[in-house]
Amino acid sequence: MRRSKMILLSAILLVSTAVVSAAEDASYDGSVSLEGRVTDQTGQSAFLNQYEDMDDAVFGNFWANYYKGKAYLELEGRNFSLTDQSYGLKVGRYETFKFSFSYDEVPHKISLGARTFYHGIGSNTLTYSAVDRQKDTDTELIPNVSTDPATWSVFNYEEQRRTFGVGLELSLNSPYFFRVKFTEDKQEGTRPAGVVTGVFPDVAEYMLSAMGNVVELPKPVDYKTQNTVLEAGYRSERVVFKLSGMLSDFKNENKELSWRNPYVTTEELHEIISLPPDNDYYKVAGQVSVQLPYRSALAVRGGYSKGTSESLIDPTIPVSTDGFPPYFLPFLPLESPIYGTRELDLSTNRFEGVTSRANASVAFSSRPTKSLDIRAYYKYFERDSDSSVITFSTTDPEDPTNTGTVQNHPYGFEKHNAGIDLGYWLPMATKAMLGFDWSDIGRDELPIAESTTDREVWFELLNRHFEACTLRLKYAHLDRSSDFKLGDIGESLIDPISIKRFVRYYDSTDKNRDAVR
Amino acid sequence: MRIGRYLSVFAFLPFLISLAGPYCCNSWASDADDILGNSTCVECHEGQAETYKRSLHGRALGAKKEMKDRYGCEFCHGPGAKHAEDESAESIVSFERKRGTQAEVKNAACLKCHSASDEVALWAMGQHEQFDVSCSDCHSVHADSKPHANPSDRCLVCHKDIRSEIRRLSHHPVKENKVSCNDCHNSHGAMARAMVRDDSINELCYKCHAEKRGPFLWEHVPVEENCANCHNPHGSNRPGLLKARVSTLCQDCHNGVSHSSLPYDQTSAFGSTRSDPASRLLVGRSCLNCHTSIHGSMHSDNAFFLESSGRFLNR
Repeated sequence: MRRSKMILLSAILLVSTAVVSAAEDASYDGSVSLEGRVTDQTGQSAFLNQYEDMDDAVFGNFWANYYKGKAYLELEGRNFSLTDQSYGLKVGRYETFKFSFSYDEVPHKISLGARTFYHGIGSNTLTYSAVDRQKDTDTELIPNVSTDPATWSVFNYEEQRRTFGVGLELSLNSPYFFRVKFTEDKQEGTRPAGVVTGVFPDVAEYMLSAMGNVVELPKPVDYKTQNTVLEAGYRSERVVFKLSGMLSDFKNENKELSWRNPYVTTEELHEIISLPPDNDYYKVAGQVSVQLPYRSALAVRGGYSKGTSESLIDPTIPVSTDGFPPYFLPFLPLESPIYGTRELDLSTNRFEGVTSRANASVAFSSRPTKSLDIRAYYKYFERDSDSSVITFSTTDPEDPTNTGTVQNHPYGFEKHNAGIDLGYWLPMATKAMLGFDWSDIGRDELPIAESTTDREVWFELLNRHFEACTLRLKYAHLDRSSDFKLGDIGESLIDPISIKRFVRYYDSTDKNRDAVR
Repeated sequence: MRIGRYLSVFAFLPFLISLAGPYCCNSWASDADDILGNSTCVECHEGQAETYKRSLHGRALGAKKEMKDRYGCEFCHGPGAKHAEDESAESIVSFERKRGTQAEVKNAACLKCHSASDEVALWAMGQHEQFDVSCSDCHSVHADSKPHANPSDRCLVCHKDIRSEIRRLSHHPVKENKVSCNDCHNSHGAMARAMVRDDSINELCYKCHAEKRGPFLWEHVPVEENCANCHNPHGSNRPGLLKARVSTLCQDCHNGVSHSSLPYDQTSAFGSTRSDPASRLLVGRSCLNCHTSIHGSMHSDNAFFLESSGRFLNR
């Protein structure tokens, strides 16, 4: 609230400046409206209200403009009292400064009146009350949850986003400019998540299946994102130069969701799914564009960004006393197991995530004659990861002397993209265009294909003679090639794994495509 | 937060600099003999003169002595001497599309001032310039007090395929006026493909969807490369803006061995029994029933108990 008052005071000061400085006649107009609404919604009401508040309500809108010479004030409010209300204030003086304030609420409804046997909806712990069953007595193969819907929780899968922003731009009647903008975005609500639960391991002599059953979990959403953007530069008719920086901070109130497994009926067993981690991000970028002779222009841009996160990894997993998890039993058990946890051996339990992105691009455009235009461009983009590599070790429950390890693989790639376009104006507002685009992606240590190269040639006819429509006809030929690594996998074609010789990801397969549109 | 305090400091700056002299984009050349002055134009175009006074240009530039006297209408429309003689639309720069003035000519009038803008600096690199779109196709200088085009109205007049997409079941709230085309695209030109406002699709999406940013312990490669590998940001008839149904979408890549390559159909989905729960592979969230952390996971992993796997994005 104190922050809002300070911002309002700032706005008043700026408005005063605008009013005092002006010399010409003032003009003002505005409107306030109040409406009442009664709605009758049947059927998929969540989709009717997906991003809007369509409930019965009294609500209003207002706007007000004040202009005096080069100074202005514009105020707007929509749907006040509803959950999709928004407000905006702009104050400024042309060629001198601009101040803006905004507040916006966005509902997002997915499903209304959902039901679950879980309690604790909206929190990071989902549980239910049940009487534990005796081991080896469950022959009905149903979870031990209440079958009376009256005891279930009723809730909505929905989120509410609230965004607040302030910004200031100064140009001070000079070619230099400076901008700062701050936004805070809060999201609260519930989203659906699915999780595999296992195959009734409480039942003796139960035939296992692949992965077991699944249950839907209402996942809590409680995010806050704060972005600060700074920009400064110089602008003239010939040269525009800009430096920009962004700082972003993301916070999640819930790092994990604990849920009771309903397919373990002889005792209360809680498991965990991970939720998005807190993270920080920054980006710096620079851009310059120059107007050249012969109606040409050159633009160069470069940027670098880095994102970090830090988390402690839980080394425990739930297992039965036989050493197996609740959801995988390779043998027909003679009796139901008792559950506990197993400690995995981690090389480190602190994960420090570091990803960076770098890009550089240059583009040239020219109209050497009245009818001819040319574009050429090159872009480089790289994504790199210096995140922690953690090794997870544990022993095989069937053979305690056998230790298995897995390790995460931070991923990186780099992409080169270049091309040239030519366009020529023909009579009757018709333009013929010809272009060539080349791109090459190199991926770090992917077992299937480490690089993919695309070459595309296209030809297009455009006609803007008719006022009512624009006509376009385009032909494009794409040739894709990749260094597929699994062409000889498997000892022979009888070896099951040799099937991998004949299937490829869509973006790592050779392709020859002609498209007309 | 001390943001309010810092903003208060900024608020005082305009007091100090409000007496600064005006900075204008350029000094414009003129063919003085062909310039007639506003009073001649107003004799026939009184209505346009009145609307211009109320427009943003009229207010912002009306104070300029030059604009008032000699370079008002003709600064944008060109010298009016010939037009005064034959009164034809072809003898003046007309911004109405039906008059047939070349887009380059119309745009040159606007760019005399607005090229000195970081927002428009990359106009020559953008697809709009390449496809001969003129400023007046989107902006109405005379008619509006705020000539900034409303993207939801203007963009969708030409981009009708996008207009149909944003009306699909799952969409960004563009038609609800919560997200604007300009939030993601710079319609005045950009160096990125599709004129997006950032250097990559992912960096653009992360501005509003920071929970997907990670870094994650277990990453999903197509997620880290490009959000548009799986999502259509304009709209889709599948939940979550997905380009295709979940199992079909996943099988674009995961089509080799194991259960991921199975043809999920009515027999495996609806013919199953409780003891053979194959239906989880198709109904509900399909692959995402189990692989819930599809954008990345922070869960531990192990070589033997795959169901509680962060590596396979199950947890």
